[in-house]
Amino acid sequence: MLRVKNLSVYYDKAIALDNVSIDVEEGEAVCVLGANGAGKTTLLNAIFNVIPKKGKIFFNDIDITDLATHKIVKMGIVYVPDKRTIFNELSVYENLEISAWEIIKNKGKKHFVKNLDAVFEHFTNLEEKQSLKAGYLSGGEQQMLSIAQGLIRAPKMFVMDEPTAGLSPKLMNAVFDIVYFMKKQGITVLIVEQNVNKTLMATDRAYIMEVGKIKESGNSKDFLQSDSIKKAYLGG
Amino acid sequence: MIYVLVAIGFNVIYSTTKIVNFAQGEFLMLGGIIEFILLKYSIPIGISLLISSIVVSIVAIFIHKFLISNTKDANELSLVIMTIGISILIKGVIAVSVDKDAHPIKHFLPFKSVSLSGMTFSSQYIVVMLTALILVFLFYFYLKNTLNGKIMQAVSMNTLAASLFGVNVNMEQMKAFAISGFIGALAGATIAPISFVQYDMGVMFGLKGFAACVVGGFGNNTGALVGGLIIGIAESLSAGYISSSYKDLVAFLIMIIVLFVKPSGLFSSKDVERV
Ligand SMILES: Nc1ncnc2c1ncn2[C@@H]1O[C@H](COP(=O)(O)OP(=O)(O)OP(=O)(O)O)[C@@H](O)[C@H]1O
Ligand SMILES: [Mg+2]
Repeated sequence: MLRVKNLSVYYDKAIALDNVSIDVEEGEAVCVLGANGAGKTTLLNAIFNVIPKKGKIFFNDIDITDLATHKIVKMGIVYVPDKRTIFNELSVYENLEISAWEIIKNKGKKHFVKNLDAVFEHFTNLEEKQSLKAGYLSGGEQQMLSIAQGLIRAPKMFVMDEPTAGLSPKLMNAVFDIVYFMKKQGITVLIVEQNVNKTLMATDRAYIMEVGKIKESGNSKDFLQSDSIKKAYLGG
Repeated sequence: MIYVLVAIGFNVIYSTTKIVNFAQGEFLMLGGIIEFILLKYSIPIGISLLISSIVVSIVAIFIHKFLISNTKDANELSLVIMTIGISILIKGVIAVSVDKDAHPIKHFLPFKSVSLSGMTFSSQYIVVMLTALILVFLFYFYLKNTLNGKIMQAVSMNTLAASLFGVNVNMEQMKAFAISGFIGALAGATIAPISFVQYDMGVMFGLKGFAACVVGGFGNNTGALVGGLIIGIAESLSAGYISSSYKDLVAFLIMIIVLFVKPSGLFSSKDVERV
């Protein structure tokens, strides 16, 4: 579904991503792990054309390498970056309205409300705070809102960067529950995470990055059992 | 009230692009000049207002398309300097292609002046006031109650997020220029009977509208409303009670005082981007 070929990114002259290739098949959940500064965020930003890069990227065999960000996401991919995607001065409801604006325009308000109800099933907390300004939500709630904004777009593929960063164990589990839910729905998942064990458990395959390069790739299950790999790259 | 419109014109562009458009005053001037030309050909006032606003919107779109969004490796400062260049260019083009004279425009209402509790003032002030009220109302309604308006706000609050939700940010910025041109031209065309039209009439309006923005807090529309009213009222009071020759000074004096006391403006948007 997503094919990334020989991607390289330079910041000024320093290389941050060195000839990275990854594949994600339809219906798969894939994770990218690695220490701080390994280049995981850089990889995702490059895929979505948020930063300039060299290489080729295909989505469903369509070349999206040079497509503008807003056109890439229109193909049915959602990207929840490590920065929050919320609009502080607008209400929770309006935040969801904006993230799903194409659905409202193309399929009507009814369809939006249907998606909204489905999303609120996973985010009961947000449902209660619909009319609150998003800026007043707690950090964890804001993170959940970012994910909800992505989910309501009914994507084919969901890409997220450290969705559990700064969350309590309870909210962390809620995020992984959503990953399991997406898998069940047939949504393809690409997730960058620090939470090694939980992520390996929730995904089918894993890539491990170190200083701009892919060092290992394989089945998540195998990595889960391999202490040597965890020690070598993932700090135990 | 006129400064409210200029200030909102500044805000529309600033909030979506982070550019302070120093050609804002020239949008007013163009609105006035085009109206003057159309009226010379005896085109009815309503239609000439509409045409001049649309033409200036198109000019604004061109400015964005060919100068702003095409500038390579642009940072905000270089784009702001670019708008100063554009403002000089527009003035030059009008000075050469029309002329440098001040032209009167007749009042929109059939009577020239009104008396209210002993004070007599130009009937055009009523037109300016009504136009401003209607435009401010429509603009607020657009931003707060329509999906398109919310999307435009979204771009100004979190540009990356907006583009990740499929919003064409460049298009929204172009729309902002168009709206700003439209508001600016209408403001210029309605103030014209009071101020006369002349190739450099936009300079003072632009600077005072800028002062109103600074007073209210750049990028904040409630601030633009309040800032514009403060500057306008202070100006008329000083003209009435002190001397009209100090009138122009007052706006900038207030701006400087506000900059001293609260540099972010009275209604500084509370950290809009906490991301
Ligand atoms: N805008 C930038 N300019 C210069 N260097 C950058 C920039 N962004 C990232 N880098 C550098 O590129 C490298 C990779 O950064 P990146 O954010 O992709 O790492 P990461 O794997 O996501 O780390 P983390 O786990 O901490 O999020 C780092 O060394 C970082 O300092
Ligand atoms: Mg990162």
